[in-house]
Amino acid sequence: MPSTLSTLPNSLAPDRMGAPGIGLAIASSVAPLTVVAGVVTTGLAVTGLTAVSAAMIAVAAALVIFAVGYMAMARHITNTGAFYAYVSKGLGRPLGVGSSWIALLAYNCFQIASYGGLGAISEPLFQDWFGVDVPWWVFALVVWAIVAFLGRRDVSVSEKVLAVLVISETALVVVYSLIILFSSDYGFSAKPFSAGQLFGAGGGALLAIGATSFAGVEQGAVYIEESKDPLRSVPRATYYTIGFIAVLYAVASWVQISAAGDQAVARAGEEGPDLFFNEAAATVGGWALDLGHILFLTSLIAAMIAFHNIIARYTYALGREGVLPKLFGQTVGGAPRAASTAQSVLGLVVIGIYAVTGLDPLVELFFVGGTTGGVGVLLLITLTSASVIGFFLRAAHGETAWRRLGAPVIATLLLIGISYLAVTNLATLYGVDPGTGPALYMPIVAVVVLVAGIAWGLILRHTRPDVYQGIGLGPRSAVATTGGFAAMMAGGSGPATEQPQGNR
Amino acid sequence: MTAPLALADDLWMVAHDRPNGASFLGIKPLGIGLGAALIAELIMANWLNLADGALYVHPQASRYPPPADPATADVFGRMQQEEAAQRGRRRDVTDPVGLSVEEWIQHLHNGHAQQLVERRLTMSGLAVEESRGGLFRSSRTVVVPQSSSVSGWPAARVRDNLREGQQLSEQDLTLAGLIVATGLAKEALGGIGGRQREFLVHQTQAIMRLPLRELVICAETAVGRLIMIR
Repeated sequence: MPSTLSTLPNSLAPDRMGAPGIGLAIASSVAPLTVVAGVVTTGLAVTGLTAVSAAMIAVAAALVIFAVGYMAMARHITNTGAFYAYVSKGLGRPLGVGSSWIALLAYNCFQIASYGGLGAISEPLFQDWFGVDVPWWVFALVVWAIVAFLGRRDVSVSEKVLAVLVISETALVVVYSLIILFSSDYGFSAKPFSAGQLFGAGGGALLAIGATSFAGVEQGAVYIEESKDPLRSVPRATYYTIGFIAVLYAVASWVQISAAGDQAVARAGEEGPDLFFNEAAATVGGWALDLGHILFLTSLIAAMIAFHNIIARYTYALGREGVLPKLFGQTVGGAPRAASTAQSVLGLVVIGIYAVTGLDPLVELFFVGGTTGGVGVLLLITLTSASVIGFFLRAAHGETAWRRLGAPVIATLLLIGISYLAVTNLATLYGVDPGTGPALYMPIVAVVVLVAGIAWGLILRHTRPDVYQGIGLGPRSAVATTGGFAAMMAGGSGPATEQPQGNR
Repeated sequence: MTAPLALADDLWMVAHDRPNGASFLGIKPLGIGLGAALIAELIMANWLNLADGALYVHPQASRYPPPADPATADVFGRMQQEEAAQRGRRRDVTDPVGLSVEEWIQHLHNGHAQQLVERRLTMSGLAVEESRGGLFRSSRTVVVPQSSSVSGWPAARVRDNLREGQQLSEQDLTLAGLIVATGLAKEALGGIGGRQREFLVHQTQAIMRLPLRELVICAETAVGRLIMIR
């Protein structure tokens, strides 16, 4: 299909994105500053491990190899933005449903965790600037309301605004890193790169943090159908973005940890997300701290909106397919309103629980939620990678052996290794005793959700074969059991029952 | 008012039937609906046919003067150009060249179809340009229905016919389909109840040609895809 309109004047194709635009879109759901200032410091404090740069590079390497097969498969399926579409096609629909539920859980963890990070940063900031002590959850609720409103109204942050935010936060990471690097008392440390630590006690926790840091890079596949040249521009944008972000993370973490010297873990615990900004401010003055805070907040808000939209469209696609209640598949004025509302309600409930119980928003919500989401996405990527092998074993679809077999096999093995290390080190990741707290209940929740999803898939196979057939097709599902036109006609004759099967 | 408007004009009115004349739909879903409506107008006038996702220009089309109406003439002209270009790249010139309807809906949705329809409506006086200043933005020109009786008419016609079980024209059935496909059913038809829905399905199957049904489903899928790439 992509080739048919090659002669059309560009004015007719204003939508088509090139590699730079796609790269920016990917980077904006990754939110680099949130990672460098928030995830890295909290990770240092909680795990007490410093080989962050090595973990970032290891995860990036696995992801680039994964992306080869992932992008190849994306060209042959529909609903390319959703992992469960790949799993449904590669490993079977029941596992696809299971992974879709895991995805909803993981993305919700990310999105809702951000409210904790935002609240925790805003509270001291507001006191500094205005001298008023307002609890963190008030800020969380204000931003929650904004996200909920925009989601219901189908307003996504415009690409230009996202581009400005992403470029400025990336520039800030680069400039601050240089400032710290060239400050007078800077001492090099090789610790951030000591790869050996990854395999030692608790090393898997660092890999989980690495996976958390890259969550969002999978979003590039969404644009496969929209890009100028799907064979090249989306894969290229994805490889370059992963590579660039890996270097950015590795260098910024290295500089940040080196500058703190032996005090890195202790300072990360005391200063939290301020560590990176404080190190720069030590040389150039207090404005660096303020500017850092502002961009940290905007970066978080942009990521929240991005993840809210990801969750809403996941829920919408599942509603359209009839896997989730059909209510979620309805649109009002072009927006998936019920799906959006459901996510907002969930967010509100979680903010409420944390506010009432007095749990720490930065560690218990932002870090625990964020890394849980990260491990969830890591497991999904691993499943997806295995699905690529399964998909291409049935037919080559004209892809090279490297793309359909070589890269996916290597990536799957690497990802299984990383996932194994991450899951076996959950206690270190959460900073709790093994078998207690989140290290105990998170795996249980994940297994229950996965098994329930698989069971639901199997139930659908027997009770609703039409729905079962459409799993993974998203808006192209032939049943589209939503009160839409296709669904209305599905009972009758004519093309409605055969269309749209979409064998792409 | 008794003479029905063109299909895309009808749909535009349904989408803008609000007290302030603004659209219920965002630019993109509105554009998908209007693009599909313009294509439907060409199909109903036999300039185009649609089968298995491909649009075919009528083989004798070049012998006739183009469509008299500038909006459909614009779309049709582009399609003829594209068809000729594709034909030029092929050795076998006798086979009909199909244009992907999905691609065309995608291409028309980003403001182009809306521009064409709004130009047509302002020329006929059914819609007027209005300057709007916002609290936070500079003033801009928007196109709004000339009056609420004009904008309320198409939806009321479909609604009444459905309620009274009266036969609908193919154009109104396509309009109803596009209303459902773009997510306007709640606003325009007040949601469709069981009996009316059954009647609509029955009428659609009896009267609406397959290409038009396929087109509406393509539009619905396109709106769904739009949500997936937000």
